[in-house]
Amino acid sequence: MFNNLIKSLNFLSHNIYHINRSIPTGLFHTNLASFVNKQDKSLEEDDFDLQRKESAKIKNLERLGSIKSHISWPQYNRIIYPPTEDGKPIRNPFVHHMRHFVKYPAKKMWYPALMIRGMSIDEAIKQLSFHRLKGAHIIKEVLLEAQDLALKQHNFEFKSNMWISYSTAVDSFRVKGVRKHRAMRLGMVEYKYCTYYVRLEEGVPPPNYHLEAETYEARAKEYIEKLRKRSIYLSI
Amino acid sequence: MLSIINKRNIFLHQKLVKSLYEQTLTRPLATHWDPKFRRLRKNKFTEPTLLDFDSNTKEKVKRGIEPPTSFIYKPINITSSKEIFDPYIPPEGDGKASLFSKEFAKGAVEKITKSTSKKFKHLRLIKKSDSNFDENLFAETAQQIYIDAHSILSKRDPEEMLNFVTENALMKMYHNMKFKTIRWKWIESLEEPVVKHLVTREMMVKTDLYAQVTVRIHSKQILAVYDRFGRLAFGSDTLPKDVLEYVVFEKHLSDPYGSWRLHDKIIPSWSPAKTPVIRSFALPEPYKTDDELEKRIVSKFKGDDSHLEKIQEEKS
Repeated sequence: MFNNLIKSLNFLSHNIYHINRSIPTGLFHTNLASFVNKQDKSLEEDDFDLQRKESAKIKNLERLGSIKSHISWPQYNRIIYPPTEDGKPIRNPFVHHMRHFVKYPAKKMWYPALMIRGMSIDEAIKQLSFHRLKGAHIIKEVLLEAQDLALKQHNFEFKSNMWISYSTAVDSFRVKGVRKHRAMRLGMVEYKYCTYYVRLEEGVPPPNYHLEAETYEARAKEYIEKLRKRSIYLSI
Repeated sequence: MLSIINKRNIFLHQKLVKSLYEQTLTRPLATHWDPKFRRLRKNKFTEPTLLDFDSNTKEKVKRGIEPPTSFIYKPINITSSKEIFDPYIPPEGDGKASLFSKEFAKGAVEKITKSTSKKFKHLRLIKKSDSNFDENLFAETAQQIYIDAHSILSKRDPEEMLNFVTENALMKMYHNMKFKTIRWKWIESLEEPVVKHLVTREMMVKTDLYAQVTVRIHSKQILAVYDRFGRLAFGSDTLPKDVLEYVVFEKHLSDPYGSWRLHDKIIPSWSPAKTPVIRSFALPEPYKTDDELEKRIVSKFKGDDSHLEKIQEEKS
């Protein structure tokens, strides 16, 4: 009997400790609900915690290869070409720029990106500012950022002496949701993200950018380059 | 039918209600033709947990979200200071042919009186760690350090450069040099290098001592800076130029592995203008100084030479 008393006292002492813990949270009736597992406020997730988790998922997908990695495109800006004796550069000066995780489907983003190819930068900004789609305004911001980068960091001389040689929009990842139809039928909804890649080069745009790839000479060149790029895997 | 008493209400209600045709002119493209059941239609979809990658941290802070805490502890570097103690003010007209002008004579007189009173005490502190410290010899070794540091710049290796250059100077030399190629050549020295100023200071603790020495170097050099693509951006590869500089060398005296290294350069206001950059560019916006930041930056070095008084006490 004496042991039972001690046990009951211990039990009460533990419970009293729990009750005192729950008092400062607020209302008095929460003491009765002390047996329920309540999440503290520190365990709630902010926007930044969610973003960190999602970015970790995206990094893992990039590592596995199911999403294109976003690092290699701006690394082309770090290549340093040696100076030549003539003074003419080995390669036409260029700038790579991109924007990733744009909340816009890549299928729609591709249309203004196609329109821009081969245009000078002034013409492109004019056309995009009066375009119907939302993605065109996003592309315009990216082009202006790339123009600033080129002038400040890559030693381009004139703001309007640039043209666009490469621009595409590519799928990156999708978030899935659910919607309800007429009876107990459900449907899947996808919220899509894309990336947009751009390359600006210095100079006047070539006159027949779209038609260059269609001549017999150009197609023959591409075919020969493809054959010469091949390498034997695991060779000495 | 509404009664005649509520004529005013009829008038107001007509403006608020738009016809379907008027609604089609102003609403966005992707909408249903009948907006009556808009809110019920919204309830069919689950609320997606979409994240904004587009908004910046500033906009989020305005909304009330705290920025993420960064657990990167930046390392503190004790081997070099970030400033010049008691900067040497070079006299005007130093590198020009007319040495005996009025301005030069005035400047020379002023400088001699200020420096001799405490120069020997500073020298004594330096000789405690370096017993073989001679001013004339040091000027020549300093010039050699200067040559080594600039010739290694083109290799783009910061770890090698730290043997000849302090962290403060590496920041300034290496930052704009990353994506460019530099060709630098030393041709000859036009005048002997001269030590002009000696200062020692102690950091928070009494045993920490740093020494700085300014050396005057007059030389001929070639500098050519090339672009990322190999185009000439500044200078020339063949024409040499006369260069007058007041270079500051620093050493951490209380460190057994410390050595004399290039720390900073003093550019006087009367120096001739630099040659312009080859390409044309738009002037950037004027540099705005952060007044609040500058108030917070407090140097850990004392501004006095009060540690020199103890040398007299030890003697006596």
